[in-house]
Amino acid sequence: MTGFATVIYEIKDGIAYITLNRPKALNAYNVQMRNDLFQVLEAVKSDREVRAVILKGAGEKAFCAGADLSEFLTAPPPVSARSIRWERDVWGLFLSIPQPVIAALHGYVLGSGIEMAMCCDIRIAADNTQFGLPEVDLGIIPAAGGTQTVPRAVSQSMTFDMLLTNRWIKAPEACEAGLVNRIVPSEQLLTEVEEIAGKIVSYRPEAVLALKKAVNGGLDLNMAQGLDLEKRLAERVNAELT
Amino acid sequence: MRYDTIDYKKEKGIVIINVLAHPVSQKKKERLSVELYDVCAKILSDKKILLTLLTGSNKDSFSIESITTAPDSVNIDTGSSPLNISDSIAGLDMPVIAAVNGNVSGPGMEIILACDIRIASETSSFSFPCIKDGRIPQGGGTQRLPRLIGRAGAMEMLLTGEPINAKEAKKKGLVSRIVPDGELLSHAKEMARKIVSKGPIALKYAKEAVNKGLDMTLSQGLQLEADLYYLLHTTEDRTEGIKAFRDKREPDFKGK
Repeated sequence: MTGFATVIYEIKDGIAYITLNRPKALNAYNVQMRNDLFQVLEAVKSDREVRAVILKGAGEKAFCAGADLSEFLTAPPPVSARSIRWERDVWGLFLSIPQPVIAALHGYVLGSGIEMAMCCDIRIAADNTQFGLPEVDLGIIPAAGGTQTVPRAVSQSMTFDMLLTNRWIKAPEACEAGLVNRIVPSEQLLTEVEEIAGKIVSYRPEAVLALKKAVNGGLDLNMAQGLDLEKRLAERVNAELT
Repeated sequence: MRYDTIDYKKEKGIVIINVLAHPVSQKKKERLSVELYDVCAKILSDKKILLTLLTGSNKDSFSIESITTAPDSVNIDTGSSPLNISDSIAGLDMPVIAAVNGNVSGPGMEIILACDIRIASETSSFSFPCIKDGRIPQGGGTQRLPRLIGRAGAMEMLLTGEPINAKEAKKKGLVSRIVPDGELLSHAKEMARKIVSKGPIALKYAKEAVNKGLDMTLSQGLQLEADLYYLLHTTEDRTEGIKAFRDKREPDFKGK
């Protein structure tokens, strides 16, 4: 059920599997992948059968090693840059997915790779995973939300250490820093992630959706507004039960 | 201004401020504040400086005994408002590293909290003891600490006044690296050199995106990041960075 050049999209037992599929290029993010992801995420968002999403990378070596620099050598002309910003905002779309998204991480998780992982709600990493933000080495800054999502998950100290020095960290340090939820042996990665997704799928979908909305929405509000959001969501979700 | 309580050194785009500590008298403490305030203004006006490294040569350089962030008796000619050193440091528009050893407490904490990266020696300790005297922090401690390490951890430190050691500080995210006692400065300098080898505009924008973004909603922050990213498209450094990567050589950034 996939018609995409760079992404495999499958649905099984209520779980959508999105697999970044350019293993020879370490699943580097390119323009085609952006377009493919855009379509896949649109599909996920509106598909009521999808109750949880798993994002993973094909091949042994990497979840995603960053942006494909062969396509980024020259800056796009201002007109197309502008239209990309407004019309192909794949990261805004990603963050607006209502269902829980779980990242299954292994190998290199660099640049846009980290940023994609940070758009997910739960991150599980194989013990061989390495994380890095190499953008400033290239004279640029992250552009897929990294400067915003990373410091919301790990401390600002660690964010700057990675961002300003291009320091790569391994799975245990990433776990301690709060970048990932837990570490599992490589060969158990998918099983573990499927177990989490399966659990989520087994719960009442309305409650799951409301939970994600309450937590993620609430973090952008002040405390009183956040409590109010929770109350409104809970009243609606719980009322449907009686 | 002649500096008595700090040592100020500039080399290859890096400024190293060494707090000489420890000035035990109140007068000396205030002198240190004025000097730090002055040096921040000097750094801001020097376009050749790309990074500030703040450190102390003494175990007590950043202790409550040595530093005060907002000396109320001091009147600086810029106006009547009391100077706040942590705000001056937070206002530096470049990466700022704090490399600390020993006892970091009270105002010393507030100063390092205003930096971007904190590294600590193995034997350092961190605390906000002022609650024991019935006071609360006045240099940003109640705001920057919970934003950095989370509410629960910050509350514990602020309400108990008890110190945490380097290991705990790393775990809580207060510092990002722990280094052996004797290697603190060399490690910090190497880190500084590594950072200044990168594109200066990208460094500035990365700092701006993270720090301003954390004060915005996520979607506003994402918009800020995108805008800064596209602004970087107009720089020669961006072209050079990507070219150098593809040619497998070190980039030569010009800050243009």
